[in-house]
Amino acid sequence: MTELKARYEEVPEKWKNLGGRGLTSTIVAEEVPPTCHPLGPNNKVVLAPGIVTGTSAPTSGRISVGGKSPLTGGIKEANAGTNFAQKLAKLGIKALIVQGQSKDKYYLLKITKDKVEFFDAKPWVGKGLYEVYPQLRENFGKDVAICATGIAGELGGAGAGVAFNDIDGLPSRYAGRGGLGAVMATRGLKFIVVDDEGAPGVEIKNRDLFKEGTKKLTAALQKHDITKPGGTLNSYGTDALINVINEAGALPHRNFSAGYDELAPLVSGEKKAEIIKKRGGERPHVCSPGCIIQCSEVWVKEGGKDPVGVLEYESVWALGPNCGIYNLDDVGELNRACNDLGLDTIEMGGTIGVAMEGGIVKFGDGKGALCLLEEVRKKSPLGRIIANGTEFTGKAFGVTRIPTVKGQSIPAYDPRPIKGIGVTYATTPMGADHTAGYAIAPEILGVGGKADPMDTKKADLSRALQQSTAFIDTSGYCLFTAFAIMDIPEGFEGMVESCNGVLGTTWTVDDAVKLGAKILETERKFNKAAGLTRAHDRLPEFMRLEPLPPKNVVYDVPDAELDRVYPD
Amino acid sequence: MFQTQNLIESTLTESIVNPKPFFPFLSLSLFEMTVRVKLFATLQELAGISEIYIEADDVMSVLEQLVLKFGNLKNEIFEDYDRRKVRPRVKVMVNGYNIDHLQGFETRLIDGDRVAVFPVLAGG
Repeated sequence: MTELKARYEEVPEKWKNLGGRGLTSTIVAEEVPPTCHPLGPNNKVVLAPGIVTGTSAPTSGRISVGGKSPLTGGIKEANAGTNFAQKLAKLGIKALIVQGQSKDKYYLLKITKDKVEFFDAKPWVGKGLYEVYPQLRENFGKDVAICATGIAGELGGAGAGVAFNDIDGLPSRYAGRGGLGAVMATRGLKFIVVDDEGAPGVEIKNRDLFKEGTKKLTAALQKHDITKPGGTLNSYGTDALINVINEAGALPHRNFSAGYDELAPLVSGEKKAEIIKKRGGERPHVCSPGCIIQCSEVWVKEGGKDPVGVLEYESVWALGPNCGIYNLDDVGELNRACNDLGLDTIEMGGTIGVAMEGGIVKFGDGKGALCLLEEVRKKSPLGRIIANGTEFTGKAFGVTRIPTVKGQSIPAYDPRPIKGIGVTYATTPMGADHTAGYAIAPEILGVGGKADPMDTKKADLSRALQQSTAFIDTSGYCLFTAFAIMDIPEGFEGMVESCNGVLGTTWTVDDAVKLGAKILETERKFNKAAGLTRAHDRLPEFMRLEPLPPKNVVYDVPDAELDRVYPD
Repeated sequence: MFQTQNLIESTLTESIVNPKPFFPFLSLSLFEMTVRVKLFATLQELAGISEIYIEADDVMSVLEQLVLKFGNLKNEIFEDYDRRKVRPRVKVMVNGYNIDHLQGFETRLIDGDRVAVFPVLAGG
């Protein structure tokens, strides 16, 4: 970006069998100095579609975004489902590496099969993304895919995500976590537009094997009660978890001060599906073409106005119960504001929660919460604090109950009554991230086995999940395929075979898990060099001190058990 | 997959909360227990209600009575009603604890217990 030049490079032999997270983390580890300032000249943003992304493999439109995180100070990979990923893959691009910093202004990068061009992004700087996305399609073609960083990124806010379009063109699919939107903006890059017209498509080395693998995986997805057509993800979306996690006493309410509230059903997936049926919007919906799970939706205001896109479980919880808000219209407005401003919904839910704890706005005040987010649009001093996330805001207002690990906001499962997910939050190289090793599946949902959530011996479980997840994040398949393949082994075999089909490799299921382990090793090595130690592999102190009602338990997994996940 | 099954089974512990009544004879019982039953997802949709109070002294009895009250739940909850075989996809929590880690469908209930019944579901 410093010289405003773009060039193509052949993929080095050592990287040719990687994709998604495996590729972004490997490139970041090799090319970004671990001690660099995340917003300074030496950081990079790497975007990479998964191994099978862009092919006909089901539910595989994922893109990984990587860099050094301004939120955690460590390596970061965040991913999203969007046709941007598929278009980039079809153009034959394994990874897009953005480096350097433009001196004075923001740019838009347009990629087609013939060329890469830079445009002055001035007309779209400082504007909300719901306004900008249609304008970009008008200017660059109605079928282009768009990646963006919003106003929060322009502020260098560590809560800024990277936005992608859904299939209706809404800026609602986010690689949200870890502040990579700020890294992108500080390169001087505001938008990436991809037009794949005439693209050659993804090369598949062994078509028969690919076909056989995708067939097995498809069968598993269509059979499992969670992922099948008409299954719970398809019928209610991810938000169906609100009632269940609340029932388990682990849905954080009012900044992690309670795990259960009678009001939770008001923002449940069941309630949301009922409202969408009455007022319009869409359910089910897809984030990217070729998804057969179809967990997404389009939430609209009364009268069908102001479509938001999906209201995910995590977003509904963060902007709802965690802020004492039990009204889906308020949650929809807050989610829309986050999407519009380029903010991670989980981080903002945590941020508003601590701001409420600090007395800036009252718990339950939806309009007040929206005013806090609007400060980001104004680029006011308060807005700059908010855009920097939960830990920063908590410190600014003297709050000690700050729900973060490595500076990143804890997601929608309080770990005090669910010990294994806490092991993942503490030890994943990503900072608090439920998707990094989703222990909720065996601990609460009875998927992939059954684990007692109160059992504190969870190091082996979390490690195994983290390794498998690192592979799935590399493959390009949506992590939700895991629900089916955890219970149906042929599905996982099919997933690996489809990767072999694309790459011409001969990986076994064990090889896939080993690859996941290697990726984690790379990420942890980066973090260590960046200054993150075992002391950072811990949950916040208040979780060991304050019992969470109604089960009234503290987090009691011993430090030695946490350290057993990665004994190096 | 994920090689977690064995790990999980080997680390299962005895349930830490047993909602058995303090006086066991009460559950034998001259007195039926009134419990609050919550239905989620498809079960809620099919029953047309989200919760109901039921007199029952164990979890199986709750499921049987749900079928008596809402006939369309029979095939959703039971694989074989006559043998009382519950579908593996049906999950039950008592006061927030999964019955897999209590006494399964024989988990005893006391007055005021909260029983949640739902199909296997997920999110993230």
